[in-house]
Amino acid sequence: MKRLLEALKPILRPELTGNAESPEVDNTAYSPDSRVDLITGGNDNTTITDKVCSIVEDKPTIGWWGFFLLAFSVLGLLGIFVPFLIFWGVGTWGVNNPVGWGYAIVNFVFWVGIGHAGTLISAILFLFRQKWRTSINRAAEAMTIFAVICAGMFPGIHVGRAWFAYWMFPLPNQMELWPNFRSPLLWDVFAVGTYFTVSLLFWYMGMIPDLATLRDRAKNSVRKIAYGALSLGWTGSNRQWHVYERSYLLLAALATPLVLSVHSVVSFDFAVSQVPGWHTTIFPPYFVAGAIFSGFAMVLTLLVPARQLFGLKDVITLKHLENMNKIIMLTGMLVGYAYSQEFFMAWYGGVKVEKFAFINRAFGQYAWAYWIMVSCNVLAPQIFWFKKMRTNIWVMFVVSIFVNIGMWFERFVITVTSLANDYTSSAWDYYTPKLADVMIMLGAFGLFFTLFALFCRFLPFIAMSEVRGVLADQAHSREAALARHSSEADSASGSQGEN
Amino acid sequence: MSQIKNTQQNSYQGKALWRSLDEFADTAEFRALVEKEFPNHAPELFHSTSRRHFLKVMGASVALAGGLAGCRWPQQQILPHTSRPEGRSPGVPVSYASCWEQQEVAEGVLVTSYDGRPIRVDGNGDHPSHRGSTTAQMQASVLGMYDPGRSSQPSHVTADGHATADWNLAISALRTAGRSGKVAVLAAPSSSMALSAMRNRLLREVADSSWHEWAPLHRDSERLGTAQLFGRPMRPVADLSAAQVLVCLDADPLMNHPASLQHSSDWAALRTSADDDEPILSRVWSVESTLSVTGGVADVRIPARTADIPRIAAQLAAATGVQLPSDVAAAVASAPPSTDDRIQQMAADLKSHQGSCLLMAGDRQPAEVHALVHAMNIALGAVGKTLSYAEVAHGERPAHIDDLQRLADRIGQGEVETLLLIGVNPVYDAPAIGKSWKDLIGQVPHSMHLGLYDDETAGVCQWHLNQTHFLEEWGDGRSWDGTVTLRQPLIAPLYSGRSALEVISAVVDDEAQSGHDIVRAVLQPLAQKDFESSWKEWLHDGFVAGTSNTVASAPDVTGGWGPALESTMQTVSGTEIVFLPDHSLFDGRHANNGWLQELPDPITKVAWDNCAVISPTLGSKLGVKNGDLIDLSVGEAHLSMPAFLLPGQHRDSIGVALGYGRLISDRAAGRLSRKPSLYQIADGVGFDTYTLRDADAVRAGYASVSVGRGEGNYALATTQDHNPVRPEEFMGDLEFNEEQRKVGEFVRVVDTGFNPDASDVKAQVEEAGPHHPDLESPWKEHEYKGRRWAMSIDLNVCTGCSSCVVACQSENNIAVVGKDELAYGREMHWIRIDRYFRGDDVENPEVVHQPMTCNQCENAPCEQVCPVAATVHNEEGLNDMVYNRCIGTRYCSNNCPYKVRRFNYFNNTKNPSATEQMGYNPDVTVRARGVMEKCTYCVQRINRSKIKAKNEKRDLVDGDVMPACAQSCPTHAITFGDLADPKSQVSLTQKSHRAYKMLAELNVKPRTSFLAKLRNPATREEG
Repeated sequence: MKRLLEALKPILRPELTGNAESPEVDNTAYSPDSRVDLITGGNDNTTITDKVCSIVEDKPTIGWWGFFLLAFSVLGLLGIFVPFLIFWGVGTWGVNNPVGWGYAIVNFVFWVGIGHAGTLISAILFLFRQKWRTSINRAAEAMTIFAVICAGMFPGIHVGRAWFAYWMFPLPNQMELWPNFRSPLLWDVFAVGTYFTVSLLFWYMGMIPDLATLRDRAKNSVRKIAYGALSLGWTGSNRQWHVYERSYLLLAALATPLVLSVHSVVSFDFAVSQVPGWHTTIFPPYFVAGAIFSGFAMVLTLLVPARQLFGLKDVITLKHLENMNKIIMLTGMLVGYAYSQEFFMAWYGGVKVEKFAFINRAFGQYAWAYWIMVSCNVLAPQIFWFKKMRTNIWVMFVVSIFVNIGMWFERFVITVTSLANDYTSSAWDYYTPKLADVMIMLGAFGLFFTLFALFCRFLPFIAMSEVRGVLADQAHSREAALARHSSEADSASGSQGEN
Repeated sequence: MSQIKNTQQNSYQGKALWRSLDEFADTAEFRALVEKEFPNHAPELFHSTSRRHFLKVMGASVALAGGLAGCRWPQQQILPHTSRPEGRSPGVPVSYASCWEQQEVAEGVLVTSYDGRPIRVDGNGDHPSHRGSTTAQMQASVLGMYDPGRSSQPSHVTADGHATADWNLAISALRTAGRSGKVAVLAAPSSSMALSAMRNRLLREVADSSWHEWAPLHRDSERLGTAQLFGRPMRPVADLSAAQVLVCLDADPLMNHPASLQHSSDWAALRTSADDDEPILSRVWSVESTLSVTGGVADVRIPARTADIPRIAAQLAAATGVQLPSDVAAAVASAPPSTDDRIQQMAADLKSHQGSCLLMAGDRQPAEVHALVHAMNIALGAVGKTLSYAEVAHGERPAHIDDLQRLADRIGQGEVETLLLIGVNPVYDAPAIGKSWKDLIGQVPHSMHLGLYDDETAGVCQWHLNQTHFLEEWGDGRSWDGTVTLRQPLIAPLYSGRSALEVISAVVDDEAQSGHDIVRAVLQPLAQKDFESSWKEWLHDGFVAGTSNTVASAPDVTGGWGPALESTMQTVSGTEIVFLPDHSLFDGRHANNGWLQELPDPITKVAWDNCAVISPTLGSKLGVKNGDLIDLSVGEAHLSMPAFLLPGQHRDSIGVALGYGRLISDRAAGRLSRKPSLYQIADGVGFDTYTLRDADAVRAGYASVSVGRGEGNYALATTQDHNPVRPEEFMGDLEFNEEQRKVGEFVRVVDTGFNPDASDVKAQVEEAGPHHPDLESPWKEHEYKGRRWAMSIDLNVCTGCSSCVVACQSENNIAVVGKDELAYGREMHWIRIDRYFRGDDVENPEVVHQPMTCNQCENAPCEQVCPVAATVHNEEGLNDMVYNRCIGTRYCSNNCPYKVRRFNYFNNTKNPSATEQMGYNPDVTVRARGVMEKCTYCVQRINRSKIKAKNEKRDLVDGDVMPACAQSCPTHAITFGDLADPKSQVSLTQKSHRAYKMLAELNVKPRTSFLAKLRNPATREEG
């Protein structure tokens, strides 16, 4: 694999060969003395800007084209199977009488979960002054937006009469018919809608200074006009920066509760119902932890190849990746804890069907899915206890894929196993997906990766303005360390002199 | 249009229903006007056949005379009345009495007609021989009539292949062939007096003619057995409401019996009486090989091979020690004494309940066993108490199989020039007699087939004539007790068919008589007073009162059949195969009926297929699971069919249902060179088990079979237990099942005795459920100021017969989804019958049925989760489903703990055929795809009753509203009514000591209560 990449390197990005070949810098060592550099390779403001802007300004590489076309053709599956679905009905899916929700809802929850890392990185880590977020927040936020788009598609097409899906919105009408505000599905509409709006705003606002950079560097009129319009007349004046930073902080504060709320509300779809295996109070925190877990895994899945392809190893450094791995390990253990607590509560609660639901989950007809979930989500991240592993690019990439698979199966296990064997045993059945289920699931990945490819190509992949700030900090702290070092030396010699 | 041509005024005659003078005169202008306005109008309006014309006149005149007859009015479908005929309100359904006949027994029915279209068949509650309920097959007969796959025209072999023909040509061919002598008729047996009269005329008037009868499923052994015992055939008319001890030897009186409706109702009387002040519970013993419906509800069931049951009967007779004719007593004594304690207990039960016990033998048992059973019944004092006998008209006939032999012999000897097959399908369902029936019929110079379908037999005949459905023809029949029951048409024949009576009349009469005239002429002697008024009364009632031909006392018993009895007791070793009537398709005649094909078998829950029912023991011996193919060989015949492992099946017996593997359209495709019709749904469904049933098997009731594991497997579609039941799993998981599946809480069963103790039962019923505090809702609940509709379902009398399932389907326009969708778990039935096994003996478990439909929860979980409020509560406590508002999230279905909601995954009602559309109930919306549906407690019936009561300026009273399921239930297991009325039947049943609510601990507050099942096993003998 490595050799293959080596061989492909000139094709992938010939002009950056030098950069890409620059050795992986290990900046993960802990030093109580001084902070490690978050940006390596001796980059300064100019090189960072050049590097990031070149992704947008240079001709797209064959690698990008290959990725984009592949993703776009997979997206084509949606173009085939969604009309097919709407024309013939949801019977083209594998859903049946006890299992009313299948892949569509699994995918919905999966994608909403993916969409969590972005806002967490941009809002919560921002509030906690985690500087390492700057290298990854733009891509993570973009991923959030695209994941929520993928997620939002599913409730729309999963209903029996997709052409009336808009009835879920509280639209005034002459019959005074309103949606049922007691239904968690309606809460979903609001929760996901709000989350999408705020995430989009946040993402776009964060991009304005960088868009202005692109505008300023633009060499043709199309770019000038496009980026000019998008950057909303940003000049970088002191006053603008002041207002901008205030409002960014406010938006971050606004977005923070949403990180927790949206997946809590999604979990209500299950927790508020009375299906054994769904009806558990642990769901909101469990879902949020799982969402962060899967979100970070997806960020890794995207960034590990991207930093390689776009030569951004010194911007998205091992330190960044290691931090994310730590979060993955933490949240992985959180979901593992949730899994064990579900079993404890099922036993402790003394409700027969509840007990059955969980025994059945682990040992029943869907045991295979359950154990895939446990292996991928609980066991796989344990490898990150070893520093060598969590700083190994290949290991983390493979684990991130495992976590993605595991989290998809978590939703499958929750949704399907609970429905397939609930109260009335005479109605039990087995759910088998049909072709359309699988194709629409793949199509959603196609949509996601197509949008991501377009984002890489047309928008600043790294938050340049924020990274520049980090560079300044870095320089400052280096100077401070130097100064401290010399003053310590001075005082040492002084005291010696005194003595 | 208002112009009237004077020249035509003289022809203003004949039409009884008309809208304008122009139409009356049938002017050219009027025709042109109709043509312009309705380009696709029915051309029959103007060029009607004489029969159609007759029916118009007939129907109209009777209707005007008193609204007694219902016929389709082609005119009214095309243009509305200008002035409404008296007694007719458009949109108001009218019921007419008629009769349905199966196995030579007529059942009185009430057919609901909606603007001239029959849409429902219900039982005739006034009829003396049953109580207003119906079987699933009767319910489904409406769809059978509208079946677009029915044969729609006569066809015949011509010089250049095959051609369709009109009825005039057919009649002249019939007359020429029929009058030339050497005519043999092979007809389905019937109790019709009119058909009997026509038969006699044919035999008398046509030289060298013979009449033969064939039915693959018949009750010959009962007829012949009683003839052996009494010297003449007698029909036993049982009264199960007096039978505290009922012993069924291979008999299934509650399901596969012509009087099953009456039996069920009577049997239930002794089960529900457990609620009375002086409680009595009957005890049912069943000895059989394959679990039947009666076996399922039996208190003690003894699995036995069909071949061994004669010996068991003899052992029972010996143990009872009853007085028998000497040669019979000797034969009985020759039976090896039974080692089974249960036989002794059964005998003890019989002895201690003399006069309140009854033995019944099944129609697969030899005649001698029937004779023995009746001799015992008489000795045990059953006659006059639990049993009476009726004279059998036309009883001195050979057994059907011998009759078939006679016909084959005549054909072989060249004595048959013309073979007329009336309503029979021997090519499909008769065993070969030397030669196959295809070859035998081919030997006859002229063969003509009259049938509802262009079927297997039609394919080898020179002529096929399309028969009328029973809802389209005049006729008569005798019910089980002999009451003469009338049949009147509800609609003019959809496809211009003719009835059996009319076809025979075409042979023997110079001018073919109408069925109406034939029936009137035959029944005329029965009139006590003026015939016209009697006739009107009979048509109105549907039967001729006082014509039951039961005899009060027991006929004299004769012996002489002891040696024959002894020979039936010979031990046959090895595995046997038993041919069973299908619970849905009977002998295959209903194979093209979607409702019946989709109806799961009451015991196996398999739909759209038959399968070889084997015991789990045999299954593990062969190493097969459900659906694995096994090879069955009877003599030279082989068949590979899927196995179904049924707990309770005897290990050395294999049960196969008849009636599947039809090839209706093959014939039509080959002969009329047209594509197989989409409507021939019977084709290729299941396996033709008649191929294994040779003449010996028909005689013996079983056959020896060699069985082996076959190659591959076959997908069986079941509505329950979608995962295969493996015997080791069944045993191993039983405790787990009981514990985790909560089945014991859902279906509460209490073992008790002949006189159950109410407080003990109450305690046990409560004990079976989970304990939970009184549950309060955190929010304000619905307040019900007016009516509170509710339902009670008595598990003690539910036999699982599934009549309610089809009744609901018919009433509520429920779609048929087909095998593939059903296998996917997408059946649409609003009411399903959950079948559970109880006990730890996989060889002989108990069976419990639980009808499950929407419980109309007061605190409905489905309502809370619907995002668009498409399912809401109404002020009377019904959980309403608003189809228009539903967007199909299926969240309600997920959240329903009973899983009774049904979703339209596809457009199941897309493009119904023109005739099927006529069969829809116009009171119920036909649902499109993407919406959820479920039981509404028949809200349309509630509203209709309310409107009726309001028009009559009165309040609704208990019993005014009857949902379709409750109406059809043969045991009246379902009670419906208003809980706000403390005296209503449903209020009383919900207060019963057996009443409980399923999953009440979820605080859903279901409106439906279940009444626990009581069992009276022999181990709990009363002190």
